[in-house]
Amino acid sequence: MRKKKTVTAEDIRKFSSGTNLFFNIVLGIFALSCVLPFVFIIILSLTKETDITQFGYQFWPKHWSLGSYQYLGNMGGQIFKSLAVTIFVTVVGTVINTTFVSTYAYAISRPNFKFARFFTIFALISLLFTPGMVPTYLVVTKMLGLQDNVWSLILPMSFSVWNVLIMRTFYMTSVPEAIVESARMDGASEFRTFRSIVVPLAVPGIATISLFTTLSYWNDWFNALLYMSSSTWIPLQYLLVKIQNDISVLAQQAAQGGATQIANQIPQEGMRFAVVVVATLPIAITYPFFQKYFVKGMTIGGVKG
Amino acid sequence: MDSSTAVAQAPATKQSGTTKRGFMRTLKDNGTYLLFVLPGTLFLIVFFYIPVLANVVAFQNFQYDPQGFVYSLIHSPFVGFKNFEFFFHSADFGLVLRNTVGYSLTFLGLNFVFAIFFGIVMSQMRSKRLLKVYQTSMLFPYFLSWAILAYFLYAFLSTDKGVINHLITGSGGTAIDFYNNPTFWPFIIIFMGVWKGIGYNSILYFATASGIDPSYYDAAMIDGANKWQQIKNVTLPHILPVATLMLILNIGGIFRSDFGLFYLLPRESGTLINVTQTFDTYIYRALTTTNDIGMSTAAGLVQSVVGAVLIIITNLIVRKKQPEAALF
Amino acid sequence: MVQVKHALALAATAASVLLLAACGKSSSGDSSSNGKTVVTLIQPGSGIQNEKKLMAAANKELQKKYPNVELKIKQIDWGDYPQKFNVMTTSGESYDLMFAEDYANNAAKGLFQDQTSLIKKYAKPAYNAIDPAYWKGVTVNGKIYGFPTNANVFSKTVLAFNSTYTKKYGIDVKGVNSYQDATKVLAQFHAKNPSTAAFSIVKGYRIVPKAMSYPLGNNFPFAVDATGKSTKVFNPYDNDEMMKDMKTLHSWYQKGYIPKDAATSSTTYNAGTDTWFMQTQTNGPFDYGNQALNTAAGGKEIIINDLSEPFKNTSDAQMAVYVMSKTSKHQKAAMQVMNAINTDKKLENTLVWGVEGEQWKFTNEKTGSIKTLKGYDAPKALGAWLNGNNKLLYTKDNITTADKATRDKSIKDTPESAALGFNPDTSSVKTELTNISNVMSKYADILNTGTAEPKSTVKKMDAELKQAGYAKVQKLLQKQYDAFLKSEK
Repeated sequence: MRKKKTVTAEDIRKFSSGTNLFFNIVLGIFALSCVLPFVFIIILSLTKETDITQFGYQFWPKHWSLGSYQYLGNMGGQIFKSLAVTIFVTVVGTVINTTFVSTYAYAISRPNFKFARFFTIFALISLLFTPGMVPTYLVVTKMLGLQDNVWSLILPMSFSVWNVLIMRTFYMTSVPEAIVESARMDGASEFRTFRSIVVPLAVPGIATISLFTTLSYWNDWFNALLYMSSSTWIPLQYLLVKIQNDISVLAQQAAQGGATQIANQIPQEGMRFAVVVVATLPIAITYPFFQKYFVKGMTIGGVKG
Repeated sequence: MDSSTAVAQAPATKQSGTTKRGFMRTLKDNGTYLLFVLPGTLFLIVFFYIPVLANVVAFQNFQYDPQGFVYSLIHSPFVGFKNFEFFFHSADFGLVLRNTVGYSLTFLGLNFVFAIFFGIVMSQMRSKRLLKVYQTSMLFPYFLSWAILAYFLYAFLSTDKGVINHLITGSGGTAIDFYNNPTFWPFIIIFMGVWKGIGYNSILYFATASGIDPSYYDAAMIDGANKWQQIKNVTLPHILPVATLMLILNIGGIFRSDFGLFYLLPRESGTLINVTQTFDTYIYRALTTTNDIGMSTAAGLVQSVVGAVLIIITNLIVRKKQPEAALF
Repeated sequence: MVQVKHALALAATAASVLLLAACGKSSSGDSSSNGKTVVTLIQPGSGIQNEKKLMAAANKELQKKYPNVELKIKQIDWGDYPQKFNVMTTSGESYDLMFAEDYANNAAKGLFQDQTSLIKKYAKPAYNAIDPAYWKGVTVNGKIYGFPTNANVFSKTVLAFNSTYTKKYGIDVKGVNSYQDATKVLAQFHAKNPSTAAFSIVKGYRIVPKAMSYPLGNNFPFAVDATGKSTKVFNPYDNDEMMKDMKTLHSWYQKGYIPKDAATSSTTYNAGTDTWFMQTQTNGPFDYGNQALNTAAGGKEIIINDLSEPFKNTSDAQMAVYVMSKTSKHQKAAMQVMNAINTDKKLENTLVWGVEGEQWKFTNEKTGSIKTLKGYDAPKALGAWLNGNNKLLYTKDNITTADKATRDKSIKDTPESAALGFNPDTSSVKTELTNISNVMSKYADILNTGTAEPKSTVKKMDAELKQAGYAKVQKLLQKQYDAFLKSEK
């Protein structure tokens, strides 16, 4: 664990400039392919509705139109409200989840915890079996009474066994038993050891799992579908899914020749792309900020040693 | 099961302890640990162990009772394995099994290789700023649902409106009817599946590789190791435990598949079913019209049990070869 | 000890989060503050126009008849509806009135309260006001589990033509009453305008023969003759007429009249746009010929020609059915609400059209002709087809008294399908049905959109259906259908 800095860390750990250039090109091309669909969706959201029907999904439409965004304008404050809900749920959820996961994982990673194996298997089982939608719904609505409550978006995802197992591996590999042991020798309690020695060492791991959690809270819409019946606590992704579902219902009805009955209740196709843009843009904008801390957190462990 | 009683007994043994001081010490240590696992345990009980009991419906002919779901569950008659029949008695069972396992194994291998490759490469990049751009871009597909990506792909592959067929017909060829031609789809599905997941999957390996103590590289440098040797001798061994964990967990999911990838991406095309049908799409297609809770639970249970068995076997093997990487 | 405290505090916070949540309130608005019984009606939709005033006006009218009842309408988005309905009913949640999904199947499973005696007791006037075909159609195992909506009691499928193009290219569509007839006009159109979809169909399209009813819905290959001439339950894809139609569509597909991606596309060809030349539409008496279609098309004329014969079908009767949970605490009040919206003219019109003077006004009160005002928000108006007795509705002033007379005459003259009210019990063939469902997901779209060559494809499909247990289901349905016909006599 002793570090001896003779050359700068950069030079030791990173690629030589030639290799660096090569991999920059590889990653650059790949990254481009990942952004392309989003560009495509922005274009579609600006395509005239009838162009989509007649000419299909094109990269360069014959007619441009802002029509899809007008519909979003009609949705008024709902989008901003939903964005606020998403951010609130994501932040609170991530804090809770990361706390629960990192403590649980630490306990089961310690060889001197008597029940480590039991609690590992106790958690693992839940990865394999699925509780089913209806019973989970009953637990949340009847047992916990969380219908239309914002906690119904947070609690069902406030713990993640997948992350526990990742963290457990992290603790086992990057928090040497010797350090914990020496802290214990110095008379530090288990809790103190965890807080002031283990957590700082495990920052890269914690950064990783909190990123995973953030992503899953941000992308979640199913809980909202099940538990939210009023529009107060509707997260952004659910708004998006709702519009998509509405459109596919319309398409089904139209295919069977019954569209006239509900046609005017449902937004048109181009609008779904506008909503995708609106739902994805915030995270695309906020992610780099978050990522700053994330990358920092990950590399901290390496520098510290 | 047996260990849960052990937890309950823990306080009871307190009284019978003889070396009181030493025992108090261990109890205190375990006490902290027990507090650490408490929130997670509560979560698992409430959101998993209680609702998962309802899986018994797989063995029942479920009868609705006005007194609610739980009452109905307790009073519905048991029918043995009748609900499992549709799953195994289908003429397509062999085909679906082949597809599901085949795709799962392919994804398992490719995701592994690509995620580790990208993770390590990113951890070695010189420019932090470019790295940030790459990582953010690579996560974009993760934010787009399969429903949306299906449109994107369609813009390329559509028979009369797609970009690729425009190019083909423009140069005098005949258009390819992608959505009615099964030969291309195994490749398309694998490509899209891997492509969408790389950004997300590589995060874990990037984090692990970034977290390696630089003194290890120091030492390797002094020994005269070149970059490739450093990666081989320092980075890869450090990634191994996480990689092993991912391997064990992913093997448990071999009987499952990403529903959207197999159902939405081929636009539900009937002619492609021979190469796109997996257990998840099969179950969906079979039950979407009848909506039978017993049968759908039964199908999920089969997937779970197979996953559990595979995880236990893999873990056994891992424990033999590399005891510290084993899960339990 | 300090450390232990810390640990305790941590866990306590965690636990209290869970507990706090657990103690969350679970108030279920049983009765409002003014002591009235609140009946909640749940239906698909995305908002109600002028909601506060509209509901106040509706309740005022309702309370003239039932002073202690209050109606609340709760809407769930279209796309979420099937899933939410499924979860709510399966989990045994209590609800008063709810728009049913997959009515017959769920009723047979025992999901809903039997309303037979309730209707007789509390909603007799409504029972009499609604076309008897509805009551026959919603009867499952001799009991009525749902309250139907009196709207398009019969339906037929029509060929709809875009007048923009018939005028522009001078195409005469008169007398085009079958797929075979249409080949000629499609050819004319395609020659002039090859880039626009001549016959605009997409995934999910189903060919409509002249007179067939589908006891399990048209996704399952079981059909009966609606005229009752034959009493056989048969596979529609083996039927000669259907084969002829499939061949016709396949030839259209090859000639390019049908878009090449029809079997996988989910694009909607909106009637109001000029992205299509011919499509099929379902049509019923309250559509007043092509008037409803013209409105949907934003005023453009859509020319319609009958494709299939009209029948009062089970599927029409079950179009919009309201069911009640067995645990509903307001069964009597719910029935009173249904009674009121099916018999009270003012209430029904307030719900569907809105508040008089804000959303609409009379142009002729005697004939019940109205005009919508600026405040009328079409996308958020409650759909007539799922709300109450459509016969009570005022009509826009472009619909004449003669139109209404035609409507009433057609309702009287249209025969019931021989299979009206045939709601088979398929619980003993669940396994077979799931397998058949899987086979159909392979073939239904490519056959119905003309994508595949019908003869050889049907042969392949039949072989797979056989393996899936088709014969067993067919036999069961035949037995039940024979028994049903016998009981009808």
